[in-house]
Amino acid sequence: MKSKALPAYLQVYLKEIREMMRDKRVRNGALVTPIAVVILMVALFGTISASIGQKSKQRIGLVASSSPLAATLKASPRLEVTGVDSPEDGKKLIEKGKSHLVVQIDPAGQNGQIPVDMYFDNKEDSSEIAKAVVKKTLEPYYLKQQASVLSAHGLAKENIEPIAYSERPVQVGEGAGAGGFIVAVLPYLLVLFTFTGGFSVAGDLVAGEKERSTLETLLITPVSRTEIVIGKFLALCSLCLASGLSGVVGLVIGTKLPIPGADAVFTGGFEPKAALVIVVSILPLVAFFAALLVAVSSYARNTREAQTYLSMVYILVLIPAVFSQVLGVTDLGSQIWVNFVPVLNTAANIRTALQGKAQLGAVLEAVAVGLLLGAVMLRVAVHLFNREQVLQRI
Amino acid sequence: MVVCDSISKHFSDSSKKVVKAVDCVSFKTEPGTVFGLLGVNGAGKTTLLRLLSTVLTPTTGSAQINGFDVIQEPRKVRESIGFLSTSTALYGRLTPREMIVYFAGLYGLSPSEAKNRTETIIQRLAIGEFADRLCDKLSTGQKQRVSIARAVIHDPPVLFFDEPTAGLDVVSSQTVMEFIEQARHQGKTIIFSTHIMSEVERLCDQIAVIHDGQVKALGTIEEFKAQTQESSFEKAFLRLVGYISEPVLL
Repeated sequence: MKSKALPAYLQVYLKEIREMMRDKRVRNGALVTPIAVVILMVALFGTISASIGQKSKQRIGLVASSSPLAATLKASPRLEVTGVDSPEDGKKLIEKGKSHLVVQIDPAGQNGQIPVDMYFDNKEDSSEIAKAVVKKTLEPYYLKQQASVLSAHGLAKENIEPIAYSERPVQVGEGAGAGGFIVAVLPYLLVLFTFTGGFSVAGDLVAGEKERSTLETLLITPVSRTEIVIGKFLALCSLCLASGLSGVVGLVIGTKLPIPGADAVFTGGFEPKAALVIVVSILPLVAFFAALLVAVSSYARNTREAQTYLSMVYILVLIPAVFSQVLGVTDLGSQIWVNFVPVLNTAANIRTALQGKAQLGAVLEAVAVGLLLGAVMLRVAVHLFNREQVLQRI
Repeated sequence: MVVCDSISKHFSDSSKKVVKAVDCVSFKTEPGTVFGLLGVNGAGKTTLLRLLSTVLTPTTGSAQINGFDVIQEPRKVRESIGFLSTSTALYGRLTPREMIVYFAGLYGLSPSEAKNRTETIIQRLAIGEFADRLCDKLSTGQKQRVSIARAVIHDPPVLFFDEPTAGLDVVSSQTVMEFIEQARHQGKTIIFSTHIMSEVERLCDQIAVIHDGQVKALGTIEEFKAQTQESSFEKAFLRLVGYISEPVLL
């Protein structure tokens, strides 16, 4: 039986993909870089989270003292204690950055209270962490002494604490998920990778073909201009998607490999459900970006002009992407309008997915907005590609 | 067969002034002949070929290619033509074999047909030696052979050549000229645009002298010489386009 020719748009698509994959810049920029950058981010933020989470040793100076509290501090596995002769010597350690904090323990006063002086650089956040670790280390002694005094006076602990605070974390969404800086940065990166994956070749796709006069050879084939633009659009979709997914792959690898600090970034690992939500959120954005890039490339006279227009578009994409980083420190993330702002809505959904608390409604709204914009922009791209005045602008 | 019927193409320039790139051009050419479009740079030859190949839409008038109207049946027209120009490039990151197969597919050939036809044409145009090398790595002459293969992979009855030897060396030009002669022998309808007199003298059976978008003369070389009473074709051409020699002051 005689086999039929593939649909023309599919032939254009396959040819574009073949050409793209032979370009080292595309392979590195769209596939390798997102994986490498995300793994690096996981490792970097993991290290920072572990440090802030007091899992690493805090360096403190301790002025020579015979107090049992000094021995308690020296014995703590969470403190790296350097002995100094005086507070002045300790301050020098702080100035040189060799110590986050210097502790001086004086003899107990007549009322039994032990004065503990803590010297620190109030411009360094690490000093606050060291102070917290020291207080936590001395807490058992503090509580024991407090109980002893109260007992001697026939009082209970509750008698001197008019307010009893209880911290009860509420489980929102999945047990697993990420927290801290990584949820601010990763959505921004994944959205940008989705755009930059196609950005590098978009100029070449139509404007480059005009410049090299290969477009004319395509226009005199029986294939319709709409089929040509659809083939190119699908090729760009594949590249944008591959670039965005490479970021997700980097994330999965980052959490599976024994990278230092990765466990501090993701509590309980990276859930498959979160990966699915991210992919679903990215898909309409991919269509929108690809259509936008094809439209710009069709309009431009040559690759140079295309790069100028694409740089402007890049800034427009960058603004909501950057804005997505502050969603966590404001209550904007929970506001409805965010779901209708392209780029920002995708970043917001990726953020909640990473935290393990994705909301189906918000995802569907963002997908609908993305698909609508993608369809409109594809219509614009097809219109431009069918305009003789646009295609003949060289 | 190609029939041009008062075809025109007008553009607006940056100052909104109408430029008549092609102005009411009419001619007819038969299979098995080479029809020359002769004119200086900017005369309107390329625009006319773009109109005939449906890349541009005529402002007025029309044309029939192999019996199909360029406005009513552009797809049928494109199926009937092959187009070669030195300005059209190849896809640098494809090999000649991949590129020829790609265009065969776009012209509607099935994968097996495309493969068979590609192998035949690779052999016929002696492309085999470099058929699997990336097009970016080919010499100008090799690229031109691949361009010919691309243009004729679907065996079209009508061929357009737009200054196909511009920028080519003598050997590469010879390949193109020989190919056109073979195509004529096979009964193809050929329109050959050039400004090189020797090529016209060698190939063309009939010629249209184009100037400022209009056909200034239509006929054979001998008819032009008789009409202008000039001994050489070059002088006849210059007279037809209204060239007036100005003495150069040294």
